[in-house]
Order: sequence, then C-alpha cells, then structure tokens
Amino acid sequence: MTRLVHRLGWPGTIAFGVVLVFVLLAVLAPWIAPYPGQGAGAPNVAAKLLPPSADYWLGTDHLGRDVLSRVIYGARVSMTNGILIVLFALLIGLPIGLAAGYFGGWIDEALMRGTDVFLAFPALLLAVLMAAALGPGFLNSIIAVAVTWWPWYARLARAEVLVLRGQPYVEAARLAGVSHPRIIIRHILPATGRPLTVQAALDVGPALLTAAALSFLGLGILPPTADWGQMVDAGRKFFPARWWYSAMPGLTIFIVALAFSILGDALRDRKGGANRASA
Amino acid sequence: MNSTAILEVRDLVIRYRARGLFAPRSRPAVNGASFTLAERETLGIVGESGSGKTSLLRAILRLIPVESGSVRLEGQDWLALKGDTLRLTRQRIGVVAQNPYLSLSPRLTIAEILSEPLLAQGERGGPAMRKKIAALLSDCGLPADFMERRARELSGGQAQRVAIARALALEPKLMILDEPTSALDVSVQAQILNLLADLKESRGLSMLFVTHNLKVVAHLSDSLLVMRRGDIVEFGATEQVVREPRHDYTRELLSFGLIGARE
Amino acid sequence: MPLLEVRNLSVTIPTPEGDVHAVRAINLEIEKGEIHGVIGESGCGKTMTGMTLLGLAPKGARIVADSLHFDGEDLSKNAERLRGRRIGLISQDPAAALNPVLSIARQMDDVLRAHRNMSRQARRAEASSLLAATGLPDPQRVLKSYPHQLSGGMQQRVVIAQALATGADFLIADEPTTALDVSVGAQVLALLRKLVSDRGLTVLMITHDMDVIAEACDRVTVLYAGLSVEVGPVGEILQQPGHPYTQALLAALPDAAPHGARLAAIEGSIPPPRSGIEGCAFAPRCPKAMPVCARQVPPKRLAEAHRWLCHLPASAP
Repeated sequence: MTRLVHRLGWPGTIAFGVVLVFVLLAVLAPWIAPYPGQGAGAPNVAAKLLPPSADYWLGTDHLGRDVLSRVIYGARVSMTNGILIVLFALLIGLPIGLAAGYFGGWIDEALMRGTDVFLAFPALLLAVLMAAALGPGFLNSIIAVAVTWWPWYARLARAEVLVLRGQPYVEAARLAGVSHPRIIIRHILPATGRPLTVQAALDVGPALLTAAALSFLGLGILPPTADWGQMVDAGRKFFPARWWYSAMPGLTIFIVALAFSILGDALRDRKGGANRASA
Repeated sequence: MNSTAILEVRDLVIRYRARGLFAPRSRPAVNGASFTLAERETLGIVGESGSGKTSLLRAILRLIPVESGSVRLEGQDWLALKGDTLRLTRQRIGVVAQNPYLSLSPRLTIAEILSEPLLAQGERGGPAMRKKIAALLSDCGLPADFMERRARELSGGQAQRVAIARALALEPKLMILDEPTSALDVSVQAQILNLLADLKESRGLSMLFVTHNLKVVAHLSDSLLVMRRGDIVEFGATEQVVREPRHDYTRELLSFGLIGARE
Repeated sequence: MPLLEVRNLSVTIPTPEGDVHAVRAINLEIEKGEIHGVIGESGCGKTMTGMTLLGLAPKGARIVADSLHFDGEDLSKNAERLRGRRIGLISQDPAAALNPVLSIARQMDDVLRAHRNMSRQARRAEASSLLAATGLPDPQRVLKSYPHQLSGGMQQRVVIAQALATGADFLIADEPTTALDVSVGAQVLALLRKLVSDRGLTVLMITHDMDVIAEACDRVTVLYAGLSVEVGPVGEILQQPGHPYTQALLAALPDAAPHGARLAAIEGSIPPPRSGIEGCAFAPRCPKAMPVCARQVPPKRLAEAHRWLCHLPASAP
C-alpha cells in the first residue's frame, strides 16, 4: 500500500481504488446489488419513480427498478465497454504504428495516410455512422468506437518507434544480426509499453463516455440490459422532477471517467521502475 | 601492410539526399574514400563532427546507403549482400559504440544481452551458452556473476567491457570501435585500451578505431587516417603521421594540450 | 587576498538511502587574473563545487565551509546575487544555454537590459562589440541569427559574450570544450586566455581533460573523491606531480606510454559517495600505500610552488 502511494501519489492511489471498486461491483453485481432481479431488468411497476429512500438508496426508474442495482449492473456493460474499446483500438493501432515506424519508407507512407483518413472525420460522427451501419448491440457499439480510436494509438506507437529505432541498443541488436521481428518484439515493443499503457488508461474514460453517448442515442446496447448511457437517456424524459433517474448514472459515468483519467496521469508521472511497464 | 586485406574500401562516396524537388545536390558527406585494412592491424580513423567519419563508419556497417564505390570484406562484395544473407554475415564484424549505457538495452540482463547475437545466429540457449557467456565475460575481465545484472548497475568501464564482450560473441575477425573510450574517465580509458590491445593479440583481430581523439588512437593503431569535410587528408603508418604530419590540420590535432612523452 | 577563497568546503546531499558526500573537503584559492583548472574524474565533486559557487547546489544540500568568499563577500549568503552580476557560467552544452526560438540579438539585448543602464542604440552597439570581442566574424550577421544557425563553437562564443554582457569578471567554465571538436575547443580556450589578459577576467575551468589543463590553465587543483589533493602551477604539476593520484592520472594517458605499450591504468574504483573516508582517500588504489595511509589523514607536503596531501615525504620521487 505504501509502495503504491509512493509510486502513484495519493490522487493516483485513490483513483486506482475507485476503479478497483467499480471493477468489483461489475464482477460481483448479482451478490452486491440489493435487487439483483431488477438490476438484470425485471420490472417492478408497483414502485415507479420513487425518490431515494432507505429501501431504494438511489430511487427507482420508470419501471420501478432500483436505480442503485441498475447502476451496479450497468458497471458490467459500461466498464467492459470502455476497456474493450481501448483494447480493440490498441490491437489495431499498435501493430500498424510499429510497422510504420520501424520499416519507414513506403510502408510508413501507406499506413499513415490510411490512418489519416480515419482521423479526418470527427470521432463521434464516425462512431455514430459506424454504429448506425452495424446496427445496435454490445459488440457493434464497441467496434464502432474502436474504429475511431485506433489511429491515435498508431500515431503514438509510430512516434515512439521512430525514437527507439535510432537508439544505439536497437542498432546494436541489428548489427549483431538479430532479425526484424525479434528486434520489434524484444526491444521496441517493451519500450513502447509505458507510454501506450498511460494513454490507454487515460482513454478508458473518454471511451466509456463515447460508448455512453452511443447508448444515449439508442445506438448502443439494447434494453433491458442496464447501461449507464442508456439510463441517462431513459431518465431524461423525467428530468428534472425525477432527477435521480438520470443524475445517478450520469454522476457514475463522471466519477469513473475522472478516476481513469487521474490514474492515467499518475501512471505517466509515476516514479522509478522504467522497465516496470514492460515487464 | 603486406598481409591480406580484411577490409577494402574503394572510392566510397556517400551523399545524403537533399530535401525538396529542386534542391541542389548536397556536398557529399564522404567524398571518395579509399583505404585498406590489413589482417591483424588496427586502423585509426580520426575526424571531428562533420568530417564524414561517422558516415563512413555507418556505410561500412550497412546502416546507410552509399552513392558509389565498393566495400570488400574478406574479399567479398559486402555492399551487394541483402536480407538474411546480410543479417547472418554481420557476425564477421563486431561493433562497440561510444556510450555503453545507450548501446546496452536497459531492460535486459547482461546474460540476455550477450546471448542475443548467439541466438540470432541460430545457437541454442542452455548451459552450454551460459558457459560461453561466462567465458566471454572473463575474457573481458568481468566475473561471471555479472550475468544477472543490468547495465545501469555497472560502472562505465564495466558496461563498456560488456559491450566489447557482446561484439566478440560471434568471434568476428573485424572489430569496429566507434569512440569506445570517449565517454569514460582517463583511468578507465587506459583499462579499456589495454583490454582492446590484449584482445587484438589473443584473438588475432583487425580493428577499425573511429575517434575524434587522435592521441588515443595513435597509441594503439598501426595506421592512421585523418578525415576533414568528407576528404581523407592524411593516411599512412601511425609512426610516420605522428612524426611528419603532412596536413596542417593533423599538426593542429597533435599539438593540442600535453605534448606527448613519446619520442 | 585571493579573489575566490574556499576553505574546507563540504556539500552533503541527504537521500533516503543515506547522505551523499558530493564534496568532502575542498580548498580553492583563485587569484585575480588567472585561469585556474579543477581536474578530476567522475564523482570527484568538481561540478558540485562549481554549482555551489553559483548558488545552484541542489535543494536540501548541506553546505559547510570554513570560508567561502568571493572578493570579500560571503558566498554562502550572496551567491545568488553575485551570479549573473560578477560570476558567470559557461556550460558544456552551449545549445542548451541559448533559447532556440529567440534571435541572438534578442538574447544579448535581454541580458544587457537586465544588467546595464543603456539606451537601445547603445545596447545594440555593445552587443555587437561583445560578439566581436569573442572573435566572432561578422557580428551583425550573428545578431540576426538563431542558435541553430550557428556552429557549436560559435554558440559557445555567444554564451561567453552573454556572460561578459552581464559584467561578470569571474567565469566558471564547466567542461566548456567537451562538446566541441578538438580544434574548435582549442580556439575557445585561446579566446578565454585572450579575455583574461585583455579584460582582467578570472576563470575557474572545470574539466576532466588534462589536455585542457595543459592548454589553458595557469594553476590547477586536482580533486579526488570530493577532496582537493594537490594544487599548484600547471607546469610543475604536469612535470613533477606530487600526489600519487595525480601521478597515476598522468601515467594513464595514452601520451605517456610508448606506442602500443600497456597503459598504466588505475585499478579499483573511487570510494562510494555514501561512505565515510578514513585516512587517505586514495590509499586503497595507491601503489605506494603504507599501513599508515589507511589510518591517518595525510599531512600537507610542499615542493617549490605546489602542495599536496600525502604520507610520503616530498623528496620521494
């Protein structure tokens, strides 16, 4: 614990704690949520739109479901969303950036011009178009956002590689006859790990927001599965009189996005262990 | 220089591409360099920044393309090699760079660093390789228990010994040394120069020693080549160049600072 | 009275792993109008000494000295005020000392405006004449340039001109030629010599390079492990070094041995900066060490104009 505080600082440690709590909520939702059935989507019309109370800490929605349970169940979808989007984007962007930066020349030109095409569109617009084309659904919305996201990783990876490629120890490996794939895997990839993990952590928040925006527009996950963005949208019709319906999931999005962003900053500024990120 | 040549450079011209469509052709970085390095000899290449010595070195290492000219390594057309043939032929040249902390990966242990060239040439890991690595370290004056350390835990001199051990791993006949002592203290420089002299003797190495410090290289080289602005301004036996430099520039370099105790 | 007097300076930097003794006991006496070299290998404390004189020692460092005086003023109190007024710094990397996005004219003018009460025109003329004084041909063109348009040697001359513009008469030059080519470095050293004789400057030359000492300095102080172990005129020290470390340092130079012969390397390494020292700091590496060397702090020895610390009497060759 003290080591964690030493490495990440207090804000980073707290942010890390918040993220951890939400991950646990997502994993343990059926056991933690006060009304697991309602969290999963079962209506309870007798208790429609009740304000926060001892029975329903965050109030109930228009189908009488406990908002707290819905938020906890929503963590499963929304957190997975944010993390998967970033992972997918890394999976596409990283190899492209590595190849472009390492080999240079026409390979670089071709890959990076292709990347620029994706960057030419406003990200949200592209995501909406993609989501509309693919149709709503959990996986589709992730793909839609990841497609707008990967070019940033490609660019970042390429910039890192350009610096690393000229490092004497990378050159020394080349001069020792080490093959290109091996140099990339053993020398380049580990060193790009740190800046990319930082960027990825910073991006989970925005990715989650974008996914929430898609859900809000009805292009994300379909009801009755709980999703924070979609809850905000549903609660909007009852705002501000029944403010808790959309405010509670909205606040949750805000807290989680903020936590990831602070955690990313802390990872970037963390002390010591330059090779830790790559280990 | 009566024995066979290990490295033969003829009329080598290196020119960096000028940027822009109508940009005038740039001045060559190396303007027709020719020299021969005989087996078991040491050639010192001396020059300052912009002299072309680094370009020459990088071209010989096949890190940058040449415009024209030829390089023969043990009689073979070295510039014609490509792809995997080039990669596997690289084992004939061992390279030591200026700053060992930069040329040794910060992430890998010394054992991993030294096994890299061996693995690249298809050798298998295991106890036999570890034994070989320990022997390399010992040849370079380091104990075997350095294997599990990382470069940053070593002193400058120790790290440079590791870099030399790596260069020797594939038993090259030619060693290319790029300012191998410039980042080191004088007392450590002396240790490294002694080590290089020993290795040259025991392994029958030829050496190409590139530096800006004429005095350092004059001490252990058989012949000297002085470069300035892409041209070779002096090339000859070390004794002769030191005693009767033909170019003013060489004289300037020799007269700086302490006047050597050498006769 | 010397222009700079440093007696028994120690600089200790506390770290979580224990105190780092960056400077243990350094004495410096620098007379007005000399170029005084400070030579030593990495870890000898030469750079920390320079930084301390400039009031730039790291935060939290404990600085203790029997005397730390520049021209009668106490440097432990006034270093920051004197820096940039009377004491200037010439660093190793001139490119880092100049702002890459401002023209030389602008950077010279900023310095002059801060330090001299002059009209705009007078400042322009002064900038140009200072650049000329550092041997830059065509100062007008240099004034219009940006740092990247100048060579390393020219940049270093601009840095020297800036130091002069502050009105500094004492320059601390920290490895001023290390980043430069030998021939360019030689010119910069010649310039410093010229400025010393023309303008009565005093220079503290920090270096690891015996060639720089031989080329440019009048007197030299040899540092080892944060201690000043020998001081004297350059000629004497190069010819007849008194301290075994100075002797070993000179013997390790490639110039010292016949062509191809083995060099006299110094075995072992400097004492760890976190440990204390008993007796003579060099004793564990010294070929002439005696039992007493490990126990007692060595006494001062004198020969002609130079002094050193050693248990061996001065007469021993």
